Amino acid sequence: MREQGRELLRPAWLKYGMAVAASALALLATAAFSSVLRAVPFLLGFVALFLAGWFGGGGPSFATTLLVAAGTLFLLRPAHAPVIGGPDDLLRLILFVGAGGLASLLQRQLWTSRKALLGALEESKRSRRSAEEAVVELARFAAIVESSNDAIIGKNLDGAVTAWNAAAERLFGYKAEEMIGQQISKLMTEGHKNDMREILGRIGRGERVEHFETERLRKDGRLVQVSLSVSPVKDATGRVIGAAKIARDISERKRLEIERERLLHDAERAIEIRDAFLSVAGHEFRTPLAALSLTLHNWGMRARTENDPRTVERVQKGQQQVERLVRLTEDLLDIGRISSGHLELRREPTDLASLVRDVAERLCESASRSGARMEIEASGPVLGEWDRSRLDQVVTNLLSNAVKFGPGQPIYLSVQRDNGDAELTVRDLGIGIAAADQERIFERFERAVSERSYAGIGLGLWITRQLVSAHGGTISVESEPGRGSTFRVRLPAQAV
Amino acid sequence: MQVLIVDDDAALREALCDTLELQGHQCAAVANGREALNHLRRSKRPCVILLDLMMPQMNGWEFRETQLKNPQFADIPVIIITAHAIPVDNAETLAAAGYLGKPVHPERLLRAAADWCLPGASRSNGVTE
Repeated sequence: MREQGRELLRPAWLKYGMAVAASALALLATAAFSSVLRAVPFLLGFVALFLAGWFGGGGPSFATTLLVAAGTLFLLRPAHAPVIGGPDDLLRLILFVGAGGLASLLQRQLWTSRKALLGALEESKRSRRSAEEAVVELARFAAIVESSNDAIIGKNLDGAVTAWNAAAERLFGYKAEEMIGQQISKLMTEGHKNDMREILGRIGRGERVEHFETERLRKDGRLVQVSLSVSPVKDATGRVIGAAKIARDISERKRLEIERERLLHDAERAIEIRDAFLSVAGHEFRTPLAALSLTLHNWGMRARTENDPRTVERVQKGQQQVERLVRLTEDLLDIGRISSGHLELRREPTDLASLVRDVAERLCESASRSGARMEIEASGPVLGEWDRSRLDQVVTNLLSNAVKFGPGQPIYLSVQRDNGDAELTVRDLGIGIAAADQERIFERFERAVSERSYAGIGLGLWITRQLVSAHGGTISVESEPGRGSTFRVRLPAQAV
Repeated sequence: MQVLIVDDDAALREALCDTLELQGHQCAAVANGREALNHLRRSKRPCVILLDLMMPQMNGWEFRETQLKNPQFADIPVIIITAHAIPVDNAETLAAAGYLGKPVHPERLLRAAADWCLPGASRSNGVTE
């Protein structure tokens, strides 16, 4: 088979070289056997042109005809030239050229047909090869489709199923033979019958549908959450004839999403309940605290009248504890106010420097009890439009922390104006805060120290930061464990 | 001149009266709005009423509404004592002369009493926390 048609592919130089050689041989042999060939002088010429035609087709055959004719006319001497004798010989020559030309034409026809035949043969070989390759490719695709974890389904534009892979069997519970030819709407729940019309409408317009989340009905009656991607399938002319659908089981993902939403809702609800509880509790504490505080006050007044200094002193200690309780209660109530956005500032012209001196004086006693000494650096008044009682709370919190975490150490306070802002720094030489805790300490109920070593509920710095933010200011901390902490508050002088 | 305390918490009523009496004021105390109305009808006219809001039987808002409808008592000044945020809900219907937040600061309490009850006191001074 492979040898077939090889002569058709010979190069032209070889075919015409063969024609020249055949012509030369024919002329030589005719000269050598001129006596024998006198009656048929072009016999060998015919043999040569047939040979050249067989070897090289119409062209070389006709070339041989002309070469033999010309050679006979011009190259052979009269003694060896059997044809050159008279008008008969000239007629023979013309007949030879005519017959040779005809034979060459026939050869040419023959070669053309053979070439066409051979081309068709090649084409059929090629298409058989590509058909074989296509079958292999198809098998590979089929294997991929079958091994896919996603359900892959083919359907025509009427909604009838044309393909159904193993994952589709697993996802929907129907075997391929149960579904092929059936309507895909078999999988749809009442609430989602319109899905298919919408999807097929888009497919009909040649659009893709991606990650369409819906639910489908399994053979066993259970619902399954799926994400569908549907692409149009077109024929060779580009007409949409069906759809290929990939369905992914997202039941687990949906379940987790619902679970996560539930947990989030529960967490938010728990925070709401906690804040509501703190608010109710805080308000409830206020009445007995009021009674207790007034009772102590009255008791102190009587002791003063009766000139009983020991009782006066005891009552004062009691009043300090009541004040602590009042502050804690107010902190708890601040959680609700801040969280619900109900923190309202009552701005008025305020001198931060004198406010800091007042707070320091108030805390002086508890500071000196712990052995701490306070140094205040403030050159003059630092004025701004601030809520005096809220700033008092900020300074009190920072200073109480400095006393609490740096007992027996000096505390340095400074108030100054910096680029139009007021800047307050509170520096202690206490236990310090590790870098990892420096952001956390400003969060609600967060503490950087063990509750076994230091009392407190972890609200002070959170409230402090919220109050500073409400004034449009910032608070930051620089600290190193064992070397103390510096808290820096910056406040714009005017309301922003 | 007498200060009338209206509060459902007995301990606070007692402590408020005690504080006022220590400074020479006269004081009467009742537990809710209804008792307060009865007191106003039967006893002498107080110089100021210190009124809690959340009380059983007749709360502070209801008492105030009734009081303001009665021409005999309508002009007695009322200072609201509240454990809740100031201004309180429906503050305009209360039309209070002032507010005191709980826990009550003794000095503010005494200043309020002085403003309304001492002879020659200016009645224009409202007390607001």
